[in-house]
Amino acid sequence: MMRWVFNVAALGAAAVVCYGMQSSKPRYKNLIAPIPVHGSMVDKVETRLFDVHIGKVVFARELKVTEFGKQKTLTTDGLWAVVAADVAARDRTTRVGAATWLGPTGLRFHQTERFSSRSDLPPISVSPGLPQRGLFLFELPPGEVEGATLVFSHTVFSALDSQANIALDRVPLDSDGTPLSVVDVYDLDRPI
Amino acid sequence: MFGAIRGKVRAWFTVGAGTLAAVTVAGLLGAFGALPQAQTPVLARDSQIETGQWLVRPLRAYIGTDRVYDLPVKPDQQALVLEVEMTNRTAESAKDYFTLFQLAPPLGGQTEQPAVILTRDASMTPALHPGMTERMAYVWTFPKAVALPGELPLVVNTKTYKPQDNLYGTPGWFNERELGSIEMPVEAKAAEGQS
Amino acid sequence: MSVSDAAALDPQDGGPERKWRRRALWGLVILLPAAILEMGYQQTSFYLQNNDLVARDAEPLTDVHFGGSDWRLENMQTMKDTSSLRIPRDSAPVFVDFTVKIGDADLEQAWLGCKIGLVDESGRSWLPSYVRNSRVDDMATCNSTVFSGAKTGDTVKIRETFVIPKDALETVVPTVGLGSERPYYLRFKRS
Repeated sequence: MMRWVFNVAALGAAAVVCYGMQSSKPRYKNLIAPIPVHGSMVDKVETRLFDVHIGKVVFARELKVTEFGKQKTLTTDGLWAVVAADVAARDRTTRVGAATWLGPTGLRFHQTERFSSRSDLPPISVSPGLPQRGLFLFELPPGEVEGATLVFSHTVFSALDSQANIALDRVPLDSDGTPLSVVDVYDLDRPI
Repeated sequence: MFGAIRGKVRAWFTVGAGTLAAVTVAGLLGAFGALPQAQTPVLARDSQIETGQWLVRPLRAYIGTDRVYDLPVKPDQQALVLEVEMTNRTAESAKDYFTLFQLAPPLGGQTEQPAVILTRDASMTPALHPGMTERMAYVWTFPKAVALPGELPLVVNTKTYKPQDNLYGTPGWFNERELGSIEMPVEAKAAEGQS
Repeated sequence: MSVSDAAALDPQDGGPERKWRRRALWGLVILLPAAILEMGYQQTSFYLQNNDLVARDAEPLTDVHFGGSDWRLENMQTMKDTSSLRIPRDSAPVFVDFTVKIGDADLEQAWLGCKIGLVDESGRSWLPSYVRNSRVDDMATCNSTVFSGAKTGDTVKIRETFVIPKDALETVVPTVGLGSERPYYLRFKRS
Protein backbone atom coordinates (compact mmCIF):
# COMPACT_ATOMS: atom_id res chain seq x y z
CA MET A 1 0.00 0.00 0.00
CA MET A 2 2.75 2.45 0.98
CA ARG A 3 4.59 1.61 -2.18
CA TRP A 4 1.50 2.34 -4.26
CA VAL A 5 1.01 5.76 -2.61
CA PHE A 6 4.66 6.54 -3.15
CA ASN A 7 4.43 5.66 -6.85
CA VAL A 8 1.43 7.95 -7.37
CA ALA A 9 3.18 10.77 -5.54
CA ALA A 10 6.31 10.33 -7.66
CA LEU A 11 4.23 10.37 -10.85
CA GLY A 12 2.46 13.54 -9.71
CA ALA A 13 5.75 15.22 -8.87
CA ALA A 14 7.17 14.28 -12.28
CA ALA A 15 4.11 15.75 -13.99
CA VAL A 16 4.47 19.01 -12.06
CA VAL A 17 8.17 19.26 -12.91
CA CYS A 18 7.51 18.55 -16.60
CA TYR A 19 4.74 21.13 -16.72
CA GLY A 20 6.98 23.68 -15.03
CA MET A 21 9.77 23.06 -17.50
CA GLN A 22 7.38 23.24 -20.45
CA SER A 23 5.81 26.51 -19.38
CA SER A 24 9.10 28.16 -18.43
CA LYS A 25 10.89 27.01 -21.58
CA PRO A 26 12.15 30.04 -23.51
CA ARG A 27 10.40 30.47 -26.84
CA TYR A 28 12.37 30.35 -30.07
CA LYS A 29 11.62 34.04 -30.50
CA ASN A 30 13.35 34.80 -27.19
CA LEU A 31 16.26 32.51 -27.95
CA ILE A 32 17.15 34.37 -31.13
CA ALA A 33 16.04 37.83 -29.96
CA PRO A 34 18.39 40.78 -30.56
CA ILE A 35 20.66 41.66 -27.64
CA PRO A 36 19.89 45.17 -26.38
CA VAL A 37 22.65 47.59 -25.37
CA HIS A 38 20.96 50.11 -23.06
CA GLY A 39 21.85 53.77 -22.82
CA SER A 40 20.47 57.26 -22.38
CA MET A 41 20.59 60.37 -24.53
CA VAL A 42 23.90 61.52 -23.07
CA ASP A 43 25.60 58.24 -24.02
CA LYS A 44 27.23 57.06 -27.18
CA VAL A 45 25.76 53.56 -27.35
CA GLU A 46 28.08 50.99 -28.90
CA THR A 47 26.68 47.98 -30.75
CA ARG A 48 28.57 45.29 -32.65
CA LEU A 49 28.60 47.18 -35.94
CA PHE A 50 27.93 50.84 -35.15
CA ASP A 51 27.86 53.52 -32.45
CA VAL A 52 24.89 55.81 -32.11
CA HIS A 53 24.34 59.01 -30.17
CA ILE A 54 21.06 60.89 -30.26
CA GLY A 55 21.67 64.54 -31.01
CA LYS A 56 18.20 65.96 -30.97
CA VAL A 57 14.53 64.98 -30.86
CA VAL A 58 12.07 67.44 -32.40
CA PHE A 59 8.29 67.05 -32.49
CA ALA A 60 6.31 68.56 -35.35
CA ARG A 61 2.76 68.61 -36.65
CA GLU A 62 3.80 68.63 -40.30
CA LEU A 63 6.94 67.78 -42.24
CA LYS A 64 8.07 69.66 -45.31
CA VAL A 65 10.42 68.05 -47.80
CA THR A 66 11.57 68.47 -51.39
CA GLU A 67 11.21 65.24 -53.33
CA PHE A 68 12.17 65.07 -57.02
CA GLY A 69 12.24 68.86 -57.15
CA LYS A 70 8.68 69.11 -55.80
CA GLN A 71 7.83 70.44 -52.40
CA LYS A 72 5.72 68.08 -50.36
CA THR A 73 3.99 68.49 -47.00
CA LEU A 74 3.34 65.40 -44.94
CA THR A 75 0.53 65.57 -42.44
CA THR A 76 -0.36 63.17 -39.65
CA ASP A 77 -3.19 62.59 -37.22
CA GLY A 78 -0.67 62.36 -34.40
CA LEU A 79 2.75 63.91 -34.18
CA TRP A 80 5.92 63.58 -36.17
CA ALA A 81 8.98 62.78 -34.11
CA VAL A 82 12.21 63.70 -35.88
CA VAL A 83 15.23 62.08 -34.26
CA ALA A 84 18.61 63.34 -35.42
CA ALA A 85 21.30 60.85 -34.40
CA ASP A 86 25.01 60.62 -35.07
CA VAL A 87 25.93 57.18 -36.30
CA ALA A 88 29.45 55.85 -36.78
CA ALA A 89 30.68 52.53 -38.09
CA ARG A 90 33.04 50.59 -35.84
CA ASP A 91 35.47 48.58 -37.96
CA ARG A 92 33.77 48.13 -41.31
CA THR A 93 31.32 49.76 -43.66
CA THR A 94 27.82 48.96 -42.46
CA ARG A 95 24.27 50.25 -42.44
CA VAL A 96 21.85 51.35 -39.79
CA GLY A 97 18.74 49.95 -41.38
CA ALA A 98 15.93 50.02 -38.86
CA ALA A 99 14.71 52.21 -36.05
CA THR A 100 11.72 51.69 -33.78
CA TRP A 101 10.05 54.03 -31.31
CA LEU A 102 9.16 51.85 -28.34
CA GLY A 103 6.29 53.53 -26.51
CA PRO A 104 5.84 53.53 -22.71
CA THR A 105 3.29 50.68 -22.87
CA GLY A 106 5.33 48.58 -25.29
CA LEU A 107 3.75 49.63 -28.60
CA ARG A 108 6.32 49.49 -31.40
CA PHE A 109 6.26 52.30 -33.99
CA HIS A 110 8.54 51.57 -36.92
CA GLN A 111 10.20 54.35 -38.84
CA THR A 112 7.86 55.88 -41.39
CA GLU A 113 7.77 54.56 -44.95
CA ARG A 114 6.15 57.65 -46.42
CA PHE A 115 9.38 59.15 -47.78
CA SER A 116 11.38 58.26 -50.84
CA SER A 117 14.92 57.32 -50.10
CA ARG A 118 17.31 60.04 -48.98
CA SER A 119 20.88 59.49 -47.89
CA ASP A 120 20.12 60.76 -44.38
CA LEU A 121 17.12 58.43 -43.90
CA PRO A 122 17.52 54.75 -43.08
CA PRO A 123 19.11 52.59 -44.33
CA ILE A 124 22.05 54.84 -43.55
CA SER A 125 25.37 53.62 -44.88
CA VAL A 126 28.34 54.49 -42.64
CA SER A 127 32.06 53.82 -42.94
CA PRO A 128 34.79 53.70 -40.29
CA GLY A 129 36.19 57.13 -39.48
CA LEU A 130 33.37 58.93 -41.31
CA PRO A 131 30.50 59.46 -38.86
CA GLN A 132 27.23 60.71 -40.24
CA ARG A 133 24.08 62.39 -38.99
CA GLY A 134 20.95 60.42 -39.78
CA LEU A 135 17.29 61.38 -39.48
CA PHE A 136 14.81 58.88 -38.11
CA LEU A 137 11.16 59.80 -38.57
CA PHE A 138 8.22 58.41 -36.63
CA GLU A 139 4.48 58.99 -36.57
CA LEU A 140 3.00 58.67 -33.09
CA PRO A 141 -0.05 59.53 -31.03
CA PRO A 142 0.85 62.19 -28.43
CA GLY A 143 0.50 59.74 -25.52
CA GLU A 144 3.49 57.75 -26.73
CA VAL A 145 6.05 60.50 -26.13
CA GLU A 146 6.58 60.21 -22.40
CA GLY A 147 8.84 57.35 -21.31
CA ALA A 148 9.74 56.14 -24.80
CA THR A 149 12.83 54.22 -25.88
CA LEU A 150 14.47 54.37 -29.29
CA VAL A 151 15.77 51.15 -30.79
CA PHE A 152 18.38 51.24 -33.56
CA SER A 153 19.41 48.05 -35.35
CA HIS A 154 21.42 46.95 -38.34
CA THR A 155 18.49 45.31 -40.15
CA VAL A 156 14.78 44.82 -39.47
CA PHE A 157 15.31 41.16 -38.52
CA SER A 158 18.57 41.03 -36.63
CA ALA A 159 18.57 37.74 -34.75
CA LEU A 160 21.14 37.57 -31.96
CA ASP A 161 22.76 40.83 -33.07
CA SER A 162 23.19 43.72 -30.70
CA GLN A 163 20.86 46.71 -30.99
CA ALA A 164 20.97 50.11 -29.31
CA ASN A 165 18.10 50.83 -26.89
CA ILE A 166 18.24 54.49 -25.92
CA ALA A 167 15.86 55.84 -23.27
CA LEU A 168 14.62 59.30 -24.21
CA ASP A 169 14.81 62.27 -21.86
CA ARG A 170 11.62 63.67 -20.39
CA VAL A 171 10.17 66.65 -22.22
CA PRO A 172 7.60 69.10 -20.81
CA LEU A 173 4.13 68.05 -21.98
CA ASP A 174 0.71 69.64 -22.01
CA SER A 175 -2.40 67.88 -20.70
CA ASP A 176 -2.92 65.45 -23.62
CA GLY A 177 0.73 64.43 -23.80
CA THR A 178 1.79 66.73 -26.64
CA PRO A 179 5.26 68.19 -26.02
CA LEU A 180 5.16 71.95 -25.39
CA SER A 181 8.06 72.33 -27.80
CA VAL A 182 6.10 70.98 -30.79
CA VAL A 183 6.68 72.98 -33.97
CA ASP A 184 4.03 73.44 -36.64
CA VAL A 185 6.18 72.66 -39.68
CA TYR A 186 9.60 71.03 -39.75
CA ASP A 187 11.62 71.41 -42.94
CA LEU A 188 13.79 68.33 -43.49
CA ASP A 189 16.01 70.26 -45.86
CA ARG A 190 16.71 72.88 -43.22
CA PRO A 191 17.26 70.92 -40.00
CA ILE A 192 16.91 72.77 -36.71
CA MET B 1 -7.31 -25.81 -26.41
CA PHE B 2 -10.34 -23.61 -25.74
CA GLY B 3 -8.18 -21.33 -23.65
CA ALA B 4 -5.88 -20.78 -26.67
CA ILE B 5 -8.82 -19.90 -28.94
CA ARG B 6 -10.17 -17.41 -26.42
CA GLY B 7 -6.74 -15.82 -26.20
CA LYS B 8 -6.62 -15.47 -29.98
CA VAL B 9 -10.06 -13.82 -30.13
CA ARG B 10 -9.06 -11.39 -27.46
CA ALA B 11 -5.89 -10.51 -29.39
CA TRP B 12 -7.94 -9.88 -32.55
CA PHE B 13 -10.27 -7.55 -30.71
CA THR B 14 -7.40 -5.70 -29.12
CA VAL B 15 -5.70 -5.14 -32.47
CA GLY B 16 -8.97 -4.20 -34.14
CA ALA B 17 -9.99 -1.60 -31.55
CA GLY B 18 -7.55 1.04 -32.83
CA THR B 19 -8.69 0.58 -36.42
CA LEU B 20 -12.31 0.72 -35.36
CA ALA B 21 -11.74 3.96 -33.46
CA ALA B 22 -9.94 5.51 -36.45
CA VAL B 23 -12.73 4.53 -38.84
CA THR B 24 -15.38 5.92 -36.49
CA VAL B 25 -13.63 9.26 -36.07
CA ALA B 26 -13.04 9.61 -39.83
CA GLY B 27 -16.66 8.77 -40.53
CA LEU B 28 -17.91 11.31 -38.01
CA LEU B 29 -15.63 14.01 -39.39
CA GLY B 30 -16.85 13.27 -42.90
CA ALA B 31 -20.46 13.44 -41.77
CA PHE B 32 -19.94 16.79 -40.05
CA GLY B 33 -18.08 18.12 -43.09
CA ALA B 34 -21.04 17.22 -45.29
CA LEU B 35 -23.41 19.32 -43.19
CA PRO B 36 -24.37 22.61 -44.86
CA GLN B 37 -21.81 25.29 -44.00
CA ALA B 38 -23.01 28.16 -41.87
CA GLN B 39 -23.44 31.26 -44.02
CA THR B 40 -20.86 33.95 -43.28
CA PRO B 41 -22.72 36.89 -41.80
CA VAL B 42 -23.57 39.94 -43.86
CA LEU B 43 -21.92 42.92 -42.20
CA ALA B 44 -23.55 46.33 -42.01
CA ARG B 45 -21.77 48.53 -44.51
CA ASP B 46 -21.42 51.65 -42.40
CA SER B 47 -20.37 49.89 -39.21
CA GLN B 48 -16.95 49.45 -37.73
CA ILE B 49 -15.77 45.92 -38.42
CA GLU B 50 -13.30 44.23 -36.10
CA THR B 51 -10.97 41.78 -37.80
CA GLY B 52 -7.99 40.19 -36.09
CA GLN B 53 -5.45 42.91 -36.72
CA TRP B 54 -7.62 45.78 -37.93
CA LEU B 55 -10.60 47.93 -37.15
CA VAL B 56 -12.11 48.87 -40.49
CA ARG B 57 -14.99 51.04 -41.59
CA PRO B 58 -15.82 50.93 -45.31
CA LEU B 59 -16.60 54.44 -46.51
CA ARG B 60 -17.38 54.32 -50.20
CA ALA B 61 -16.68 52.60 -53.51
CA TYR B 62 -16.35 54.25 -56.90
CA ILE B 63 -14.95 53.82 -60.38
CA GLY B 64 -11.86 55.82 -61.23
CA THR B 65 -10.07 56.51 -64.49
CA ASP B 66 -6.83 58.29 -65.48
CA ARG B 67 -5.38 58.67 -62.03
CA VAL B 68 -6.38 57.44 -58.59
CA TYR B 69 -4.30 59.04 -55.84
CA ASP B 70 -1.19 59.36 -58.04
CA LEU B 71 -1.68 55.82 -59.33
CA PRO B 72 -1.93 56.04 -63.13
CA VAL B 73 -4.70 53.99 -64.73
CA LYS B 74 -4.04 52.94 -68.33
CA PRO B 75 -6.45 54.35 -70.97
CA ASP B 76 -7.98 50.93 -71.67
CA GLN B 77 -8.38 50.17 -67.98
CA GLN B 78 -10.70 51.23 -65.22
CA ALA B 79 -10.10 51.21 -61.51
CA LEU B 80 -12.47 50.09 -58.82
CA VAL B 81 -11.69 52.01 -55.66
CA LEU B 82 -12.77 51.09 -52.16
CA GLU B 83 -12.05 53.67 -49.48
CA VAL B 84 -11.91 52.52 -45.90
CA GLU B 85 -10.91 53.84 -42.52
CA MET B 86 -8.39 51.50 -40.89
CA THR B 87 -6.85 51.25 -37.44
CA ASN B 88 -4.05 48.88 -36.49
CA ARG B 89 -5.21 46.93 -33.42
CA THR B 90 -1.86 45.23 -32.83
CA ALA B 91 1.11 46.43 -30.82
CA GLU B 92 3.42 46.97 -33.80
CA SER B 93 3.42 48.88 -37.08
CA ALA B 94 2.11 46.53 -39.78
CA LYS B 95 1.01 46.28 -43.38
CA ASP B 96 -0.66 42.88 -43.41
CA TYR B 97 -3.76 44.26 -45.11
CA PHE B 98 -3.53 43.15 -48.74
CA THR B 99 -6.09 40.36 -48.43
CA LEU B 100 -8.30 42.13 -45.91
CA PHE B 101 -10.86 42.91 -48.60
CA GLN B 102 -11.46 40.62 -51.54
CA LEU B 103 -13.80 40.90 -54.47
CA ALA B 104 -16.03 37.87 -54.16
CA PRO B 105 -17.05 36.54 -56.52
CA PRO B 106 -14.18 37.81 -58.75
CA LEU B 107 -15.34 40.02 -61.58
CA GLY B 108 -12.84 38.72 -64.12
CA GLY B 109 -9.69 40.29 -65.49
CA GLN B 110 -8.85 42.12 -62.30
CA THR B 111 -5.40 42.60 -60.83
CA GLU B 112 -4.46 39.83 -58.43
CA GLN B 113 -3.76 42.07 -55.49
CA PRO B 114 -5.20 45.51 -54.99
CA ALA B 115 -2.93 48.52 -54.72
CA VAL B 116 -3.39 49.96 -51.25
CA ILE B 117 -2.84 53.69 -50.98
CA LEU B 118 -2.76 56.08 -48.07
CA THR B 119 -5.20 58.80 -49.16
CA ARG B 120 -3.45 61.41 -47.00
CA ASP B 121 -0.48 61.74 -49.35
CA ALA B 122 -0.83 58.90 -51.87
CA SER B 123 1.93 56.81 -50.30
CA MET B 124 1.85 53.29 -51.67
CA THR B 125 1.30 50.57 -49.06
CA PRO B 126 2.83 52.22 -45.99
CA ALA B 127 2.82 50.36 -42.70
CA LEU B 128 0.09 51.60 -40.36
CA HIS B 129 1.03 52.35 -36.78
CA PRO B 130 -0.73 51.02 -33.66
CA GLY B 131 -3.88 52.91 -32.79
CA MET B 132 -3.52 55.52 -35.55
CA THR B 133 -6.58 55.64 -37.79
CA GLU B 134 -5.91 56.29 -41.47
CA ARG B 135 -8.06 56.48 -44.58
CA MET B 136 -6.86 53.98 -47.19
CA ALA B 137 -7.91 53.28 -50.78
CA TYR B 138 -7.96 49.72 -52.18
CA VAL B 139 -7.61 49.91 -55.95
CA TRP B 140 -8.33 47.02 -58.32
CA THR B 141 -7.91 47.60 -62.03
CA PHE B 142 -9.94 45.96 -64.79
CA PRO B 143 -10.11 46.13 -68.56
CA LYS B 144 -12.71 48.70 -69.57
CA ALA B 145 -14.82 45.94 -71.14
CA VAL B 146 -15.67 44.38 -67.78
CA ALA B 147 -19.07 45.54 -66.59
CA LEU B 148 -18.83 46.58 -62.95
CA PRO B 149 -21.85 45.92 -60.75
CA GLY B 150 -23.82 48.66 -59.05
CA GLU B 151 -23.53 46.87 -55.72
CA LEU B 152 -19.99 45.66 -55.11
CA PRO B 153 -19.88 42.33 -53.25
CA LEU B 154 -16.86 42.10 -50.93
CA VAL B 155 -15.51 39.60 -48.49
CA VAL B 156 -13.84 40.80 -45.29
CA ASN B 157 -11.14 38.44 -44.04
CA THR B 158 -9.70 37.99 -40.59
CA LYS B 159 -6.80 36.09 -39.07
CA THR B 160 -6.18 34.40 -35.74
CA TYR B 161 -3.36 35.27 -33.38
CA LYS B 162 -1.12 32.41 -32.26
CA PRO B 163 1.44 33.04 -29.53
CA GLN B 164 3.62 30.41 -31.20
CA ASP B 165 3.19 28.91 -34.61
CA ASN B 166 3.78 25.26 -35.37
CA LEU B 167 6.83 25.74 -37.54
CA TYR B 168 9.07 28.25 -35.77
CA GLY B 169 7.36 28.78 -32.43
CA THR B 170 7.12 32.51 -33.12
CA PRO B 171 4.00 34.60 -32.52
CA GLY B 172 2.01 35.81 -35.47
CA TRP B 173 -1.32 36.07 -37.28
CA PHE B 174 -2.37 32.94 -39.17
CA ASN B 175 -5.24 31.01 -40.75
CA GLU B 176 -7.00 33.65 -42.78
CA ARG B 177 -10.73 33.06 -42.97
CA GLU B 178 -13.86 34.89 -44.03
CA LEU B 179 -15.28 37.10 -41.33
CA GLY B 180 -18.29 38.22 -43.33
CA SER B 181 -19.41 39.95 -46.48
CA ILE B 182 -20.55 43.46 -47.32
CA GLU B 183 -22.08 45.09 -50.37
CA MET B 184 -20.93 48.58 -51.24
CA PRO B 185 -22.91 50.78 -53.63
CA VAL B 186 -20.58 51.84 -56.44
CA GLU B 187 -20.69 55.53 -57.22
CA ALA B 188 -20.46 55.99 -60.96
CA LYS B 189 -17.51 58.31 -61.16
CA ALA B 190 -16.19 60.37 -58.33
CA ALA B 191 -14.23 63.43 -59.23
CA GLU B 192 -14.44 64.92 -55.78
CA GLY B 193 -12.30 63.42 -53.08
CA GLN B 194 -9.52 62.53 -55.49
CA SER B 195 -6.49 64.62 -54.87
CA MET C 1 11.45 -14.36 -20.09
CA SER C 2 13.41 -16.98 -18.34
CA VAL C 3 16.46 -16.44 -20.53
CA SER C 4 16.92 -12.74 -19.77
CA ASP C 5 16.25 -13.27 -16.10
CA ALA C 6 19.03 -15.78 -16.04
CA ALA C 7 21.34 -13.32 -17.81
CA ALA C 8 20.57 -10.48 -15.39
CA LEU C 9 21.14 -12.72 -12.45
CA ASP C 10 24.33 -14.14 -13.92
CA PRO C 11 26.98 -13.37 -11.37
CA GLN C 12 29.66 -13.46 -14.04
CA ASP C 13 30.84 -10.05 -15.34
CA GLY C 14 30.63 -10.91 -19.03
CA GLY C 15 26.85 -11.50 -19.23
CA PRO C 16 25.59 -10.45 -22.70
CA GLU C 17 23.21 -7.77 -21.37
CA ARG C 18 25.89 -6.08 -19.30
CA LYS C 19 28.26 -6.22 -22.21
CA TRP C 20 25.80 -4.51 -24.52
CA ARG C 21 24.96 -1.92 -21.93
CA ARG C 22 28.61 -1.00 -21.72
CA ARG C 23 28.93 -0.94 -25.50
CA ALA C 24 25.90 1.37 -25.75
CA LEU C 25 27.37 3.80 -23.24
CA TRP C 26 30.66 3.93 -25.13
CA GLY C 27 28.66 4.36 -28.33
CA LEU C 28 27.25 7.59 -26.93
CA VAL C 29 30.74 9.01 -26.62
CA ILE C 30 31.12 8.67 -30.38
CA LEU C 31 27.55 9.28 -31.51
CA LEU C 32 26.84 12.51 -29.61
CA PRO C 33 29.79 14.46 -31.05
CA ALA C 34 29.04 12.96 -34.45
CA ALA C 35 25.46 14.21 -34.26
CA ILE C 36 26.58 17.68 -33.20
CA LEU C 37 29.09 17.81 -36.06
CA GLU C 38 26.47 16.66 -38.56
CA MET C 39 23.99 19.30 -37.37
CA GLY C 40 26.58 22.07 -37.32
CA TYR C 41 28.05 21.19 -40.70
CA GLN C 42 25.51 23.12 -42.75
CA GLN C 43 25.83 26.29 -40.68
CA THR C 44 29.60 26.07 -40.66
CA SER C 45 29.88 25.62 -44.40
CA PHE C 46 27.38 28.44 -44.93
CA TYR C 47 29.52 30.67 -42.71
CA LEU C 48 32.70 29.74 -44.55
CA GLN C 49 31.16 30.21 -47.99
CA ASN C 50 29.78 33.64 -47.24
CA ASN C 51 32.60 35.43 -45.46
CA ASP C 52 36.05 36.60 -46.47
CA LEU C 53 38.02 35.07 -43.64
CA VAL C 54 41.45 33.90 -44.80
CA ALA C 55 43.67 36.37 -46.65
CA ARG C 56 45.93 35.33 -49.53
CA ASP C 57 48.61 37.93 -50.07
CA ALA C 58 49.00 39.09 -53.65
CA GLU C 59 51.51 41.30 -55.46
CA PRO C 60 50.29 44.32 -57.36
CA LEU C 61 51.05 44.52 -61.07
CA THR C 62 51.14 40.76 -61.46
CA ASP C 63 48.44 38.37 -62.64
CA VAL C 64 46.85 36.51 -59.76
CA HIS C 65 44.55 33.59 -60.57
CA PHE C 66 41.41 34.00 -58.48
CA GLY C 67 37.81 32.92 -59.02
CA GLY C 68 38.67 31.42 -62.43
CA SER C 69 40.16 34.65 -63.83
CA ASP C 70 43.49 36.47 -63.72
CA TRP C 71 43.35 39.59 -61.54
CA ARG C 72 45.95 42.31 -61.85
CA LEU C 73 45.96 45.33 -59.57
CA GLU C 74 46.99 48.17 -61.87
CA ASN C 75 47.01 51.10 -59.49
CA MET C 76 45.40 52.88 -56.59
CA GLN C 77 45.08 56.66 -56.65
CA THR C 78 43.53 59.50 -54.72
CA MET C 79 42.79 63.14 -55.62
CA LYS C 80 44.42 66.22 -54.14
CA ASP C 81 41.65 68.64 -54.94
CA THR C 82 38.37 67.22 -53.69
CA SER C 83 36.39 70.46 -53.74
CA SER C 84 34.32 69.24 -56.71
CA LEU C 85 33.24 66.11 -54.87
CA ARG C 86 30.49 66.03 -52.28
CA ILE C 87 32.34 64.04 -49.65
CA PRO C 88 32.82 64.66 -45.90
CA ARG C 89 35.63 66.85 -44.61
CA ASP C 90 38.89 65.06 -43.77
CA SER C 91 38.03 62.32 -46.21
CA ALA C 92 39.56 61.41 -49.54
CA PRO C 93 38.43 59.41 -52.56
CA VAL C 94 40.40 56.32 -53.56
CA PHE C 95 40.18 54.85 -57.05
CA VAL C 96 41.32 51.23 -57.40
CA ASP C 97 41.92 49.84 -60.91
CA PHE C 98 42.07 46.18 -61.88
CA THR C 99 42.65 44.51 -65.22
CA VAL C 100 40.97 41.12 -65.28
CA LYS C 101 41.54 38.48 -67.94
CA ILE C 102 38.39 36.38 -67.87
CA GLY C 103 38.98 32.63 -67.60
CA ASP C 104 35.82 30.97 -66.30
CA ALA C 105 33.10 32.90 -68.14
CA ASP C 106 30.31 31.80 -65.79
CA LEU C 107 30.74 35.00 -63.79
CA GLU C 108 27.33 34.83 -62.11
CA GLN C 109 28.55 31.68 -60.41
CA ALA C 110 32.29 32.36 -60.05
CA TRP C 111 31.96 36.01 -58.98
CA LEU C 112 28.87 35.58 -56.83
CA GLY C 113 28.73 38.30 -54.19
CA CYS C 114 31.82 40.01 -55.55
CA LYS C 115 33.20 42.27 -52.84
CA ILE C 116 36.11 44.60 -53.43
CA GLY C 117 37.18 46.53 -50.36
CA LEU C 118 39.94 48.49 -48.70
CA VAL C 119 41.50 47.51 -45.40
CA ASP C 120 43.98 49.48 -43.30
CA GLU C 121 46.64 48.30 -40.90
CA SER C 122 44.34 48.42 -37.88
CA GLY C 123 41.82 46.15 -39.60
CA ARG C 124 39.19 48.76 -40.45
CA SER C 125 37.57 48.04 -43.81
CA TRP C 126 35.62 50.06 -46.36
CA LEU C 127 33.21 49.06 -49.10
CA PRO C 128 32.86 51.03 -52.35
CA SER C 129 30.73 54.14 -52.25
CA TYR C 130 29.26 56.20 -55.01
CA VAL C 131 31.00 59.44 -55.94
CA ARG C 132 29.71 61.43 -58.88
CA ASN C 133 32.81 62.18 -60.84
CA SER C 134 34.04 62.09 -64.43
CA ARG C 135 36.71 59.62 -63.41
CA VAL C 136 34.13 57.04 -62.44
CA ASP C 137 31.24 57.55 -64.81
CA ASP C 138 31.05 54.83 -67.48
CA MET C 139 33.65 52.69 -65.70
CA ALA C 140 32.81 49.05 -65.05
CA THR C 141 32.69 47.82 -61.48
CA CYS C 142 33.00 44.27 -60.28
CA ASN C 143 29.25 43.76 -60.04
CA SER C 144 28.48 45.42 -63.36
CA THR C 145 31.03 43.13 -65.04
CA VAL C 146 29.17 40.06 -63.80
CA PHE C 147 26.20 40.99 -65.99
CA SER C 148 28.20 42.47 -68.88
CA GLY C 149 28.33 39.18 -70.80
CA ALA C 150 32.14 39.04 -70.82
CA LYS C 151 33.50 35.89 -72.43
CA THR C 152 36.56 33.72 -71.81
CA GLY C 153 39.70 35.50 -73.02
CA ASP C 154 38.21 39.01 -72.70
CA THR C 155 40.12 41.61 -70.74
CA VAL C 156 38.00 43.82 -68.49
CA LYS C 157 39.01 47.02 -66.75
CA ILE C 158 37.36 47.45 -63.38
CA ARG C 159 37.41 50.60 -61.26
CA GLU C 160 36.02 50.74 -57.74
CA THR C 161 35.65 54.03 -55.85
CA PHE C 162 35.97 54.48 -52.11
CA VAL C 163 35.69 57.35 -49.67
CA ILE C 164 37.91 56.91 -46.62
CA PRO C 165 39.23 59.17 -43.87
CA LYS C 166 42.49 60.90 -44.81
CA ASP C 167 44.34 59.29 -41.89
CA ALA C 168 43.80 55.86 -43.44
CA LEU C 169 45.29 56.78 -46.83
CA GLU C 170 48.80 55.82 -45.75
CA THR C 171 48.09 52.17 -45.03
CA VAL C 172 45.04 51.00 -46.99
CA VAL C 173 45.36 48.04 -49.35
CA PRO C 174 42.72 46.59 -51.67
CA THR C 175 41.04 43.23 -51.07
CA VAL C 176 38.99 41.06 -53.45
CA GLY C 177 36.44 38.49 -52.32
CA LEU C 178 34.50 36.20 -54.67
CA GLY C 179 31.79 33.66 -53.86
CA SER C 180 33.59 30.77 -55.50
CA GLU C 181 36.78 31.28 -53.46
CA ARG C 182 35.41 31.99 -50.00
CA PRO C 183 36.58 31.75 -47.22
CA TYR C 184 39.79 32.83 -49.04
CA TYR C 185 40.20 36.35 -50.33
CA LEU C 186 42.97 38.33 -52.00
CA ARG C 187 44.81 41.03 -50.08
CA PHE C 188 47.18 43.05 -52.22
CA LYS C 189 50.44 44.46 -50.91
CA ARG C 190 51.35 48.11 -51.28
CA SER C 191 53.45 48.69 -54.37
